[in-house]
Amino acid sequence: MTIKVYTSSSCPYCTRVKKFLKEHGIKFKEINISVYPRAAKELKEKTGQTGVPVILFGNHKIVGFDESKLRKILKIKK
Amino acid sequence: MDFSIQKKQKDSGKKHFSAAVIGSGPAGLTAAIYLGRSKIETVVFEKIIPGGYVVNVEKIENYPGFVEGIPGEQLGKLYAQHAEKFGSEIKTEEVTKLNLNEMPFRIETSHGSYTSDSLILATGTSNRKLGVPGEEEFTHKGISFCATCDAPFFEGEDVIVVGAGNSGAQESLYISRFAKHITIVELVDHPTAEPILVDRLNENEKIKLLVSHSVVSFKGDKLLSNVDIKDINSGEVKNLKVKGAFIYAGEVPNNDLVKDTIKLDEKGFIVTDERLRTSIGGVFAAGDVRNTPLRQVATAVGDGAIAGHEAYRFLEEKK
Repeated sequence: MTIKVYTSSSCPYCTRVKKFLKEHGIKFKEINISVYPRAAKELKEKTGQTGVPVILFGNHKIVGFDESKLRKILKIKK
Repeated sequence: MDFSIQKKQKDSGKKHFSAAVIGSGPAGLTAAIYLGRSKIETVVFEKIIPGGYVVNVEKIENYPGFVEGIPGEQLGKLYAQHAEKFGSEIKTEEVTKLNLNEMPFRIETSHGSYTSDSLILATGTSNRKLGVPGEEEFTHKGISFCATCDAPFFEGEDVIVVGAGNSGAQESLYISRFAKHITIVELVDHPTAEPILVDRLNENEKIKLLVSHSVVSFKGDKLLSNVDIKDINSGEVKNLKVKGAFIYAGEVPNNDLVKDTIKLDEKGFIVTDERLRTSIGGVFAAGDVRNTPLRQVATAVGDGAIAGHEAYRFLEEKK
């Protein structure tokens, strides 16, 4: 199942999410709304969110950097 | 100059340090540079990414030496590289609890426990919330506190920016690349941003400045769609149709870790003397979190240098 991470270019929490996923060897697809403005519109329509990062994985949606939620959903042990 | 993301941070596995710095903004990392050069074993704790609030700023134009300005994110990375060069260890861990009643100080983080013989608090500030109806409900559903993160969501839309200080002005100029029209709502009767920024606001056709107004409430269905604002002088309430709101109405100190242990001023900022000592021996405060008349990168860097030097002096005198 693909993990999609919506980011923007100057977003510290986006950098933190990407760092966390990389540290744990988890592959993900990054969609940068600064590069692809259409993705911002799609994300807003699909999730009702106007903030990044947003992580989509199956039916799960995580907004912001929430380490405990990421660990739970992706089954990452401490 | 290498602006690439810094390499994976080293982890010495140490649990005790001579100096611990909480927060890796300009103040915290400058303190770490000075401590490192004094051969003090130093750890810096950062919960998000090195750089502190500065990484949210698109371009910093008033920090000496960078004539054309420098993106905040790049400056943050340079500070981190500089601190690591002189031996400081930067840990991406959130400090959750401090015990300052015993020496060495105990530091609990999201990842473990540490001790340190001295401590520098450089935790910075967060954007102040307005506390009006609808603010919580529509946060990330139209309301944002980070223009450089979220402005692309408002391509071609009307938005408001609350606050005409330096942050509000700078971010309005950034948002104007995306939004159709921006109304800046300012509580006092004039913009408080630097005059050079006010000139740029006035020159920008997309931006309108509305002084002596406050936000009464944010409204909408699932997403923000309109906002009530009040004329401070007449009391008249007007409704603006906007899809986005960016809030830059001052800051509050990030003092949660020490609010019950260290002396704070009436606004919650940490009280220090001219050597940046707090009310607890061996604990220093630097940068925006302390009671200082100006909160800028340049002043934070100066604070960091003093705090780093003073922590070193404290450790030397303790020997």
